[in-house]
Amino acid sequence: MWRWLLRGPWLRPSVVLALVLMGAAGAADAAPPPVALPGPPPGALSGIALPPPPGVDPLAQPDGPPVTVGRSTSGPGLLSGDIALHGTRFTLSLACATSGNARVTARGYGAGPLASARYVCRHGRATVPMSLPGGVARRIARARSVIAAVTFISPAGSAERQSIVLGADGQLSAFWSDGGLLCGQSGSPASLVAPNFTVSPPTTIDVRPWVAWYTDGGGWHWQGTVGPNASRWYRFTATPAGVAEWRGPGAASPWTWGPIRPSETGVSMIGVFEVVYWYSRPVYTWRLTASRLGQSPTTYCTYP
Amino acid sequence: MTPRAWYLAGLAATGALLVGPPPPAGMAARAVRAAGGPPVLARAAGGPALPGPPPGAGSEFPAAPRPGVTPPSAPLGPPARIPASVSTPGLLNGTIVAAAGALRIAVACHRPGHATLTAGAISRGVLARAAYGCSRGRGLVRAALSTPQARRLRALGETLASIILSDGHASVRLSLALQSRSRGPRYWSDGGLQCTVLGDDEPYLVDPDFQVTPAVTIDVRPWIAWYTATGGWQWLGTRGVRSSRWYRFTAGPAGVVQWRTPRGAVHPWTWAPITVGPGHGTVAIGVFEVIYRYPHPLYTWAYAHSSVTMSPLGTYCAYS
Repeated sequence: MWRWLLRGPWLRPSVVLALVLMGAAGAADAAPPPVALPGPPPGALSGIALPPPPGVDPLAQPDGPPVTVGRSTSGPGLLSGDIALHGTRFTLSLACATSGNARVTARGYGAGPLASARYVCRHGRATVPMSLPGGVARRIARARSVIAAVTFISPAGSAERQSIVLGADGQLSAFWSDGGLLCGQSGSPASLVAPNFTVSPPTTIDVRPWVAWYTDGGGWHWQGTVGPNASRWYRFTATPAGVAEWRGPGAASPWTWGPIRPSETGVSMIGVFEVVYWYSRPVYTWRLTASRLGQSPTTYCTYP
Repeated sequence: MTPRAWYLAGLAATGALLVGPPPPAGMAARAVRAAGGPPVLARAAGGPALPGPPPGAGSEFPAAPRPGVTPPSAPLGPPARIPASVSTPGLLNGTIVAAAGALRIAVACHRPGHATLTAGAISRGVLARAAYGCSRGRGLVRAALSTPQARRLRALGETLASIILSDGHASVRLSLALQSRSRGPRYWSDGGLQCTVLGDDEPYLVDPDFQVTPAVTIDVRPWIAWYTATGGWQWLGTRGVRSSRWYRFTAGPAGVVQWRTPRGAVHPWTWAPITVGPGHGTVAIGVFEVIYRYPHPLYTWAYAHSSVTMSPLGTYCAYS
């Protein structure tokens, strides 16, 4: 349903879906790389801040704090956040430790669950076939894709909420044309650099950064600047020449989050940014960022 | 819309309240689209008829701006909640076409009552009085214009009217647009209710970015009209139910001056957050009244489109 948002002039389509196909160019082969991209971050399309007050530029924003990813995961992790819808049916693939229940909801499609199913975890994996009501599936097909929330409920009653993009047209994720994770060499930490958002005419933007991290045993999980599954919005002014607050006498100094350290081996990471463009009619979108290992582009930063 | 057409539209909407020569060329406010603009809809598919002008439309004007004084920054709209229910009657349609002088005004009601209609541009004093019954929450006010009154309305095309609905327990004064023949609704070309950006039941209202050449002081009064099957159309202003305040800005050729940031972004006036109680089948739409403080001030009002999540523009925000 948000596909129309992706046509705006602010998105430079020099973009890099090819990078996906390049795979983990910087990865060593000790740990299996992710089987697919993580999809949208948890809480995508929600928790949006109030609009900016009239006539006032954004205040200076702090950089992202040092963080360690890969600790204290709970609940299953998706193996892919891009979910293809075939008619009314789709399937979630999970890395899991226990069996449980999955429930799918989507904003604008009613308050109740669109689909729910029990899944059985075997050998650390589960597949969850699910089915939508025919009318909902047709609406999603017309919209081409929708961001949906998946809630995994354990037998003990604990719940973990993740997001997926559900659609009928194959590859659903897209990439910002710049910014991204700068992978550390030889196991040193990474840092996440925000894309230099270019917009004409200028507008205030809210940016919410994420690192999605993957292990073979845990699937995809999320780290924000506030903690696991929690990030905050950072407010800037996007102009035709990029973000005004990042311009200086020399090169632009984009917002940065780091160091980002993996706590264990076999971790792959990728950066994601959600953005709200505060036009009179605001626009929300989210995209992945390509990573760089030295001068080489790669999809993920991988720590074997 | 040409300046003269713009002026005449505003004049027709206000009746005889604000008169003066049309503004010279170049003074047209360009934020409005009249009928024939966007193909949207006097009535959304399956939705109610439009609410008409807000209560007190064309009246309760603030004092004129002092010469040479730039408006100070205006406060944002305060957090608000659309009430779950109201005890007063409500209109089902705020635009009444007086076919052959006959008026039929549908109301959502709790009990029978009577209606008093006035329209200063048509005649002084009461235009019509009528009782109405109330069956299954619906009533119908029937009245008729005299021949001279109907002739006057035909000359005006459209004018503002005021109706008092009293049912023995509650009395409410509302506004109507009286038309001699059906005209399309007027919409501001931007601004409006954002239905679900902040949350599923949390709309907010954005002011249109009024563009005027040469620059002029404007007074803007924002409203949200909300409709439920039991209450009909009701009105929420920034001061509460059926009460809103005027906000003063400077409209220039590039839009409202006070909303431009030093770095070049535009942050319009907003009213947020507004919460809608679930379970009432509420629909809502934004309405803005504006006074252009020309030497001969010009008043008008228009609806604002709603931005619905599932499609970029619509008439209403709808909440289950």
